[in-house]
Formats: sequence, structure tokens, C-alpha cells
Amino acid sequence: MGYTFFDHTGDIGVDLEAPTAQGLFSTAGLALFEAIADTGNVEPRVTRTVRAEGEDRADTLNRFLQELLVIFDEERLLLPHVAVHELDERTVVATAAGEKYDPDRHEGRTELKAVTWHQLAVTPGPPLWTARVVFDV
Amino acid sequence: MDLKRVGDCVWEIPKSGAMRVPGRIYADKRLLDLAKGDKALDQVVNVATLPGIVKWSLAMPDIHWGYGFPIGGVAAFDADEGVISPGGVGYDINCLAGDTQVLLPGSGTRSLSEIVESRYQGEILHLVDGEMRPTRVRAGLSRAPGNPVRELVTVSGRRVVGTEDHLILTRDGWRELGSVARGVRIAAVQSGDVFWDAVESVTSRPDVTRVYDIEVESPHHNFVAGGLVVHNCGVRVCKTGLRFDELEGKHKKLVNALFNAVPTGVGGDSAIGRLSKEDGARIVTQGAKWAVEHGYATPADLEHTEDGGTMPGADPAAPSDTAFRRGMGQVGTLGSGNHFLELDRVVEVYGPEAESVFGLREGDVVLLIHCGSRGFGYQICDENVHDFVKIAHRYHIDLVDKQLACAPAASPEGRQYLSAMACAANYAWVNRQVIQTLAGKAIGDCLGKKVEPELIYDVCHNIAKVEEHEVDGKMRKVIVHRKGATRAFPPGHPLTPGKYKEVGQPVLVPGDMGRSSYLLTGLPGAMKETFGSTCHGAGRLASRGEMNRRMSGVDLDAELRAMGVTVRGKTRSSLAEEMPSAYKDAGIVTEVMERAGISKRIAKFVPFAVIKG
Repeated sequence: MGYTFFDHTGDIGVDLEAPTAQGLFSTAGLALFEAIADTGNVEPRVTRTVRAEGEDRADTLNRFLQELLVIFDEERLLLPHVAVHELDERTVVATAAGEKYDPDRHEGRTELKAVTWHQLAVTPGPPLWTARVVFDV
Repeated sequence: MDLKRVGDCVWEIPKSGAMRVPGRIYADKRLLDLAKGDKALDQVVNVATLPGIVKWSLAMPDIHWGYGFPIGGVAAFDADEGVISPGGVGYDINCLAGDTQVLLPGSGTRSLSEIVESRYQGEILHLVDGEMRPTRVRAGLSRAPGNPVRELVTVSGRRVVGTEDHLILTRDGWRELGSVARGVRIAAVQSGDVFWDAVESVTSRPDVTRVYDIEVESPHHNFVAGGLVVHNCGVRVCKTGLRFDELEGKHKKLVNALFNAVPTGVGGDSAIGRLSKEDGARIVTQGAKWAVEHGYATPADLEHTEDGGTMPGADPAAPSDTAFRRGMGQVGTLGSGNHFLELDRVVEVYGPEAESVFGLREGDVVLLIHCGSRGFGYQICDENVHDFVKIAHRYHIDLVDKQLACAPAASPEGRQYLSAMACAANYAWVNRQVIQTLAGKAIGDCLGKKVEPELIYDVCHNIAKVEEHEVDGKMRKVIVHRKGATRAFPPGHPLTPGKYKEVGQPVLVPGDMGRSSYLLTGLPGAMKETFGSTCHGAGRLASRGEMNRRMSGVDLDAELRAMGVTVRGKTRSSLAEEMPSAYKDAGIVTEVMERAGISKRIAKFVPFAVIKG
């Protein structure tokens, strides 16, 4: 499992990989919050259930990340600990855990405007599931 | 790309292929070369294919690569008509093995056998002029191979299995698979971009007993007016009544006071608290009028805001609850990215009207604020791009790029979007107005005197608006998209406020945080050539990541101090990413627009105190 940020003029892209589709979605959630702030010492104190639906796998990933972003803007919650319970091409149900963003404890990085469809792709395994996502900064 | 010079600073991309109108770029030679460095000019061409587009697909000199539309792009679409004229060009993919993965737009792959057997109705990608474009499968068949089957494996591990007569794109053009040997460069795709991959091995595959054919349609001419990817940000400039000289030795104190008063960066909580849904509904329908009622604006502020600070047609039922959820705790916050607040010194005025009309003299201090509609607007944009992609088929729209998502302006979805966008514009005006008040109070407290910033003008530079423009000698109602471009109406235009009637609508073009920003006014040429539009900023040159690398180990504070700028940002990287060398020089950009007769410079400002997210 892993994520690597890459450059995109004015924005942030991330390449993701994981052995399973569930792992890919968890990693994507972690990467989203890592773009926003350093989540190194975010403890799983509160949880939110996140549901998203999409037209296909990539769209579902996009909607899922967008939902996490909305939770951050609304409740200021960093939720990098993501467990995926249900997942198919068009739906995902997950529990995301973390705590309220505290600028003194979690170094803020950048605000994200949106999770874009630009270069969005999900490639199924085996061996590894991979995906590319670009965040609009 | 074939570019024809049609004026001192104007270049034309002649109409070709699916373009409905020519493209036009405002640039000098140097800026044009910069624009050629990314895909921005291709995006000008893409926009020119959208139905209902009138006259030109335009690019301002600060053009750079955006999502769908280029940033610095201006285009006007007929407000009522959306023309759909499907055409088709056959395009074949011959005789490949069933497990060949076919690329789908934006969402991975599907095997060729599955496409044929499931009678797949969706889009797949194909190559047009070196670019991946979506098309639809018209017919598919499977059969026993009529010729020997071979497998090519490339250096990057890509694999093609097909009959010897299958055509494959090499750097020297289309070649039969059977004639491709080790070392030949063949076209491969990585994340939507085409690159040349070398063939590593060629082997025979007698075990493949079934190959597949699909025929695809390659339609053109069927996009509908739109491309509505906008975030409603804008910029304002205020007089402060202060002189630069009286602030000597106080820059750092001022920056700290502003930084503490105006919430910035990730998770900056609104200084006016989280608003109720009811207040939210009033903000998004009334815009800056709400700010007057709540003590954040004066009636004069309204008069000096584009559209009087209230964009008509805003229905609070149009944005989703999610948009309200994201935005209601963010009124009066700056955000991050390229948004900023700064105090500038007037360093040059270009004519007597600077003082007689704008009350600006060299050495005066002005306040500049650049931000937008925050999470509220981002959510509206996101949801509409998503919905428009889903409904595209209903209006027979094929999207070359999902981010160019659009719907007919006259459709229920198009109208709903325009209404939601008006809500976002109104939110943005309230946001900038509240920040102006917070900043004025902070400066006043810091200096121990009353400071009431007086708004010179506030412009949107990311918006679509219904306006009347002359097209082919007749006045027509069009929707002007300004994506990273600013309205610049000339002297005498009915929508230019009374005070500025004789000089033209003011436009603020912010530069980077080390170099100059400019106050401009619109000229008559803008109505003739650019749908009353001019540039919006300096235009990015280097990516955020590249700036972080370039600035690694550099003392950013010292570097900016050497330029006379005191700065405070939430994080080091947010400063590194926005350092002056990341941008073109706004001086050159505004000069080009003046030479082209589109807008004229009134005054030049240089920053000395900056806060960033």
C-alpha cells in the first residue's frame, strides 16, 4: 500500500497502489488528508460513516474522496484511518476515523478545492490495484 | 500548431477540424512561446468546438493549462441555441486478442472480448492527432485469426497481441504488427498522455484462437455551450487613506495584525462564526447587500462592485445542502492556494485620471484582496461537473475531456447551474467584503487610528455571465465565460458605475507577491474583440512541486525582504509555491492588452505587506 504525490501545474496529483480494491480506497483517503495536513499523530478518536456512489470504479473513488473533503470543510475532521466495509464498482461504504484538526498539533499543508476527474484512473490488480487522482488546489 | 499573426499582439489559430470558430491569443512573441509550453493552446482549440460558440475562442496573455478551459480563456456562447450536428468518421481497431485492454475515458480499461461480447455501449478512447479522445463502439465481431498471431512486449511491460496485419502506430507512422521488430518505438499511453515506448520482444502466439474486431464512431461537431468550470473567485482593491511613508518600521506589526484578524489557510475558522441555513440563503441571494445590512459594507462599496455586489437569478434552492455544509463556516476566510491579502504602495500613475477619478497618488497605500466563494463554490462546481458528465448523453454531448463538462445553457440543468453559480458569486462578494472590514479594523487597531478601507472596485475573474454583445453586426444575448479573465467594459458602457463612466470599468490585475499589480480600465477594443474582457493576473509558469524544489534551502523571508516585502503565510510550502518566479510578469501581460487596445493601465502597485494561506 502506498501513495506518491506528483506535480501538476498549480495542483497536486497522487499515485496510489494497494493489493486490494479496499486497500486502494483506504490509501486514497489517507492521501487526501495527507495533502491537507500532516496526519502523523492523528488518533482515531471519532468516526464517520462515509457512503458514496459512482458510475464506475473511478467515479466511485472520486465521489468517496469528495465526501471526505466535505466532512473536513464542514466539521474540520482529519479522518485518515479508513476501513472499507462494502465495495463494488458503483458503491462504497467505509468508516473513517480520526480527530478534529488542531493547527498546533497537525501541521496544515493546503486546502483542497475539489477532487478532479483530470487523469483520473483506477487499474485493477493483480498484482496491485493502482489509481491516479488529481486534487484541485 | 499553425498560428497566424493578425495584429501587433494578436495571433489566430485558423479554424480547422471540429473547430466552429477560430482561436485567438493575445500575446507578444515571448508570452506566446511560454503558452506553447503546455497544452493551453490545445484547450483553446477544444473550446472552439463547442456548439453555440460565437466569433472566437479567446486566450488572454496570462493563459496557462487549466481543466477543460484554459486559464485565461474567454468564450461567448449563444444564450438560447445549442446546435447538435453529429458526424461520424469510421475508425478501426483490427484483430486483437480478446484480453487486450481497451482504455476507457478517465476510468481504467475493459477487455476487448468483453466489449464485443457485452455489446458495450459506453465510450472508449482512441487517438486523434496525438491525443486521446473518446469515441463510441459502433460494431464488434469475433473470429478465428485469418493471419498468424504475434505478441509484442514493450520496455515498460505493455503487451499487444494481434494478427500480423493489425496496424500499430510507430514513430514512423502506422505499420503492420508483423513488420515491427525489437527496438521500434510504438505509441503507448500513460495517464491519458501518449509517449513512445520501445518494443522489447516479439513472439509468435499460435495458442490464440480467437481475435476481435471493433469499429468505432469518431464523432465531431456535437458539443453544447458550456464548459462551466468556474470557482467564482475575484479580486478587489481599496484605498486605505494611508501613506507609505507613515508606515515605516511598522510592516511586520501590520502583517501580524492582519494575519491574526483574517483567517487563512487550512481549517481557518470564520471570524463571524458558522452561519445558519437561513442566513446562508440570504447571503447567496442578496450578496453584498447582506453585508451592508450587517455592517460589513457601505452603499458606496456596493456601487463599486461588479453587478452592484448582487448577481441576479440566484436561487438558494439551486446549490445542494452539501455546498451549504461546506461553506457556512467559511464566510470571511481567505483560504489557501494563490489567494492572498496584501498592502501595496502606489509606485506609478499613468495619467491624471488616477488622481482625478480614482483618488490615487504615488506613495498612497492600497489594500488588495484575492479570494472566492470557498468550499461553497467549489462544491457547486464539483457537483455540476459530475452531473453534466452523467447527463451528457441526453444532450448527445461527447466530452473530449470530462473537465469540459457542459450542458445546453437553456436546458433545466444549465439554468439550475447558472442559478447556483450566481449564489456562489454572491457568496464570494460577501466573503471579500467581510475580509475588507476585518482588515480595516486590524490595520486601525495596529496604528491606533480609524482606518476604513474604501472600495475602488471588485471584479470577478472566474465566472460565466449573460451579457449583450455585438456578433456579426447584431446585438445578441450571449453567455460569456471568463475563466481566469476579467470583465473590462469601456467608457460609457451602461454597466460601468457613474463615477467611472468616463474612464471605463476598473479592473485589478494582481501580480505575484514580489512584483507589481496593476489597476486598469476597459477600452472600446474590448467590446469589439474580447467580449469586454481582459487578463486577470500574471499567469503561472512553474508548478507548485517545482517551486518547492527550487526554493528548497532558500530563505524565503530574506528573498522577499530584499524585494521590500514582509510576508506571513501558514506554511513554508504555501510561500514557496507562490514565490514571484512561479509567475509571469504582470507588467508584460498588462502591456500586451494595452497595445492591443483592450485595456489601459491607470496605476501600478508594489506589495510591501502580504498574508497568505
